[in-house]
Amino acid sequence: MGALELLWFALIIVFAFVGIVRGYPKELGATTSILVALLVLTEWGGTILLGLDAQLGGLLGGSFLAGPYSNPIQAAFYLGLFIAMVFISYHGETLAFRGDPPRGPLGVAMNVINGAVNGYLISGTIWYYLDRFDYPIRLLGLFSPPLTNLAKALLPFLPVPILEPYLLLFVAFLILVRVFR
Amino acid sequence: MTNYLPLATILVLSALLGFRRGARSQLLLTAVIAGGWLALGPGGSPLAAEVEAKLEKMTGGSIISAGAKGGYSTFLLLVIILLTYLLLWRLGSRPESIRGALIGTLWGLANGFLVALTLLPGALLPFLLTPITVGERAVGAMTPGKFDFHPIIIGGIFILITLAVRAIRPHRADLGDLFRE
Repeated sequence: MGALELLWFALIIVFAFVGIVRGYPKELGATTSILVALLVLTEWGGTILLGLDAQLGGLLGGSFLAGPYSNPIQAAFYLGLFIAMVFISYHGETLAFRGDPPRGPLGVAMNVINGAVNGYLISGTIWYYLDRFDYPIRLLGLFSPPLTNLAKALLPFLPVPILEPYLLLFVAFLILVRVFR
Repeated sequence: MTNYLPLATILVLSALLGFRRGARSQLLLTAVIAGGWLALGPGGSPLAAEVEAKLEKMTGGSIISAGAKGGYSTFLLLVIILLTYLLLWRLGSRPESIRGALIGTLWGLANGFLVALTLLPGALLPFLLTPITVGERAVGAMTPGKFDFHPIIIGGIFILITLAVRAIRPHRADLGDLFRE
């Protein structure tokens, strides 16, 4: 498999095309849901996981977070939850803004930008959690370390480290704009 | 103990202005605050340097401390903001609906907070945001090359989102919609 950063860029471009097809009013709704998912994971992800460990650990006869597969299990939890929430955000239209994008190049540009932002948020978050849990996809043979220098340089610019202090602000703002539009 | 009266006054006045003149006036006010701060803020902008040089010339040299210079810039920014408030209060157009007035009120509160953060950083909780101030405290605390651009970038993104949402065209009903329940 090729370098992770290439896959990341490719996914951003794919999502930019998705933005063109769907239009940015719908994409903004997806952005809101993605940010809500990020907020849930960063604020309460650890608490939920510890709670699950406490409940299921008794049934399974030991804490799975202390076992040898702790990293893959944690990665599966975070990524599974995140991907499920992203799927729901793209499937439904609950938070989508009603209306059409402006005509002409401005509308196309806004569609592309918002699509690319969503791509950055989705693929960047997946990359962040893979990195945090030491790339468990190695077990499946999908990735072989080490990271390239470019990938190492890009790690601080993934969505979670940049947006974490402002997530609540963004979510509140987008919901406010959606409601009072 | 911190005196919250100036902060409360600024917030109430901003909210009143927002209610009376709507969101457009508040967008202008945000632009003035951001522009004024960029022009007169710390970091040696050309205008701030010119103001300080003239001040030194007027008073005959080196008797002015760095803090006093910062205070002068703050005063100038205060005058600009007050003038904008006054002009918008007298000459701004009324919001089209109660919803516009409510959005203006909320935006006014946000602007009031921004003004307070710029002019009265001591009145706000220090952990809320990095103080964006032209006063003595922040000048002293800041070192060249360590300036935090995050609040400005986040503010810029909020303005972009607001503009993008305003640019959405209302969906026009077609024949298919007429037969839809």
